[in-house]
Amino acid sequence: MTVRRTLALVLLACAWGTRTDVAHAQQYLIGGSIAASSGVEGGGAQNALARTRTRLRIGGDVRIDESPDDIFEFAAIAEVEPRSGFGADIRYARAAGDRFVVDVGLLGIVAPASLYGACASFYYRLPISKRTQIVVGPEADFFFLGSDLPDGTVLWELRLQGGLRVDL
Amino acid sequence: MSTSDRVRYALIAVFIVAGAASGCGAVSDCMRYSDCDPGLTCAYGSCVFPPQQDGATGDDGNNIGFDPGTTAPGDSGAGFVVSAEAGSGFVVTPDSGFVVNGSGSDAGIANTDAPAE
Repeated sequence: MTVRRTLALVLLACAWGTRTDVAHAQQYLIGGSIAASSGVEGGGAQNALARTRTRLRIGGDVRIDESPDDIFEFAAIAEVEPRSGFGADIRYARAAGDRFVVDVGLLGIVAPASLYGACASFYYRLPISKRTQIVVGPEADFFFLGSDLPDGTVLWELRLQGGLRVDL
Repeated sequence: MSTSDRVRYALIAVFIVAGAASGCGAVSDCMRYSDCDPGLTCAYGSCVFPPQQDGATGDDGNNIGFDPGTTAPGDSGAGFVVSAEAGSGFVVTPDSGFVVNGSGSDAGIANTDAPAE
């Protein structure tokens, strides 16, 4: 009798737990993105300008359904031309409306030489399907640490990036 | 004004700013050490041979009169740094911002951007 009662309670709990109208706490919402960017860079003693390296960024973003406007972003970045380099970035993003997002974060190039700094960007999400958006917007990077940076130099980059984002 | 118009104007503004920025100021060969080919280093926005620690010699092996890494006064009073690589010419990196990158005999200074007196 006790076994039957226990089994019934377990089944009842399972049935309750699988009800579609029961809210789940803090569901994670995940997205993936790929983007390319290029622009101008400057800094150094002469404050000269040059075209910056073209960069590919492949990353993801995570947010929770209870606070969908606060977004944590992370990505691997690869500089592809005229010289190559590899690194990563992490950012905190804040949705400003349905289609605009601003973010700030830290990024670093780790190979072939190190370069570390901060970044900020602003982009617009243009929906092209229910789960897919085109993203485009400017980005500013500032590098102030690393073995690839001449002494006393702060390197800045102003980029225009564009890409694709998918809600996973 | 619709959202798409705002985005269009924002993109146009970004392109104009980027284009204006790239058209102003001196164009640099390098911003980072890794912008230069192997064996070169980035100094004053240009890729140059790194200063050598041994004696400065010309093609004939004779000392050309400057020690690498030393500073000598230029015409305008600004100092410049002379470095040499045995048998492959020498590099002069002035403090005032111009670079002389020569090769050949010790009398052949090429690509001189030094200001005239």
